[in-house]
Amino acid sequence: MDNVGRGNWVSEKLLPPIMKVVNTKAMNALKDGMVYSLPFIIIGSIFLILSNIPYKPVAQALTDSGWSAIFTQAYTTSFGIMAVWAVVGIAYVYVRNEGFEALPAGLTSLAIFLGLQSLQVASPLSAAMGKAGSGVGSLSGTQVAEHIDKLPHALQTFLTSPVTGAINITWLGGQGMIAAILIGIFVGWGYSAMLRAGWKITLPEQVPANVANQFTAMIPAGVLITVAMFIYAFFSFIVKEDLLQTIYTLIQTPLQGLSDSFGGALIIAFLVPFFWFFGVHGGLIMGAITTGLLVPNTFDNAALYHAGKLSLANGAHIVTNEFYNNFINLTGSGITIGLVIFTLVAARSVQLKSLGKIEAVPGLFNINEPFLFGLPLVLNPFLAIPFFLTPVLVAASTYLVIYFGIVPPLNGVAAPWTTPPIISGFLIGGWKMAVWQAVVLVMSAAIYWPFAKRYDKMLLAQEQEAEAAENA
Amino acid sequence: MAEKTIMLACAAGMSTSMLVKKMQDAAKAAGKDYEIFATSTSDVDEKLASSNKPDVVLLGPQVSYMKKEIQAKTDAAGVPLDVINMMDYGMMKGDNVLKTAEALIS
Repeated sequence: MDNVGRGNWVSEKLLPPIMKVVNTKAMNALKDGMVYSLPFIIIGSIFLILSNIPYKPVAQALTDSGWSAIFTQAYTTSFGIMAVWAVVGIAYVYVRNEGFEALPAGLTSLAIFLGLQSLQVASPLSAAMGKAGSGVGSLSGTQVAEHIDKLPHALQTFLTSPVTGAINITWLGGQGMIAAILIGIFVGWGYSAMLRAGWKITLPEQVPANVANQFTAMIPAGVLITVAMFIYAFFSFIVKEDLLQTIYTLIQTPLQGLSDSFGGALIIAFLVPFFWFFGVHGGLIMGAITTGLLVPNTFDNAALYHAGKLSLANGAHIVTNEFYNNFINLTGSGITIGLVIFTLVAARSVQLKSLGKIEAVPGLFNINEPFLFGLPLVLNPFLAIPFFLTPVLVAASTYLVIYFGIVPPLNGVAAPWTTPPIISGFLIGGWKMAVWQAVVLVMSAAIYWPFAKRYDKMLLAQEQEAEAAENA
Repeated sequence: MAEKTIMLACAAGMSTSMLVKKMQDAAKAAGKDYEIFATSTSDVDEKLASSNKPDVVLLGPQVSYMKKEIQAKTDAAGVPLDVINMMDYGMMKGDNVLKTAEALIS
């Protein structure tokens, strides 16, 4: 097959530079480190649903009995602090891959993540002051704010100074995600570099190994924490806000906006089959790049959903991590369910028929390697058009139906990526999303059908030829 | 204790476990006592260092781009490595992949 020869050129010349970036230590740490936050996000999702059952009487009963708040507690301490899992996981994986004992690095990373925060929460009173109905004595909130200098001195201070001695949970969730990623990678890199350079306290051999190991971590952790302290000091004295706030404003907000745009959705949807076409795991690579941005989008939507204010007007995102997992990669990269249906009901060639049987069940769980390698879809020009087109069209139409309010935004619940279609749609966005997923499945069938038919005909002719040659 | 241990590594160890099942069936049919399992490429280090070190490592075709990196590790551990043929993988031909593994061990 000459197209394989051409493919080799691509995979030898074009892909290596891309793979070099994807395969850097930092990217690997990011990709495998984020995985540690997934179980907590999914478990937290269950409590998010429980705290916010989308059926009024039940929801009311849960709120009245106080159980809604209890479920919220479980959600907040799992899903709600996902940046903590990420910051530990990323540094941990980085150092583990370098072959050193990794948990101390993960813990150092957490220490630094917290150490760069100002450990205070804005005074809830000053936030409430502008609101109608609040205020002090006979003054309204606005009047208090305007005439704060006339209040007793003690009261002024109380109203304007932040609550200290508290870890601000805002930064432990979606808003702290990019900072968590950067800190995790930086700590992983610095920690391993110092150990490799031999910066450690070596104790005499008589000292038991578990005692000696504690000392191994001491120098790199000490250096990194000191560096972090000076960074904190710089931001505290010069910038007048903490590093996390700066990263959030300067990096995370624009990136999140980019990933949540129509163009961003199309690019992500296109690149998944693009990588796969050359035999490289596109879902995994794009996942590594996009999770850091899309998971915070999911988080924002979850917070809005939890507050009962989920709408685009309130700032809900269209493209979340579930948009990626449960739409762009529905039934596997390339959204190949249409091909599965074709092979099961209409294929005539032995190859497609037998592959259909292999792929039918995994396809329901969004796994489609049998098709990618067996049809194959990899380097196959006959199926390339629908393979590239389906995810892009699905991403575009899904974006638009949410944009125009036909289907509500994704609610921030995270379903495991292996959750079958329609069920996942119901979980991540309610019945309308489930119906839309069903529409997506039909779209896939419609796009793949004519191409699959032509390809099947060709395979059948080949098979018949081979059979005739054997019989002759 | 199985006679030989064959380890398959892919992205998340999901689709490869289907192939593992087919290979186990093929090994059983041939009356061979092999331990065959799938894992994620990120766990290769750990598995190579474990007491039950695999006799051969096979990479899923979707992670063939990591061959160089993993080969360095398996070479250091003295374990042969190859990438599974794409068509064998796609068609889930357990017997063919088993033959590849056996050829590498011997």
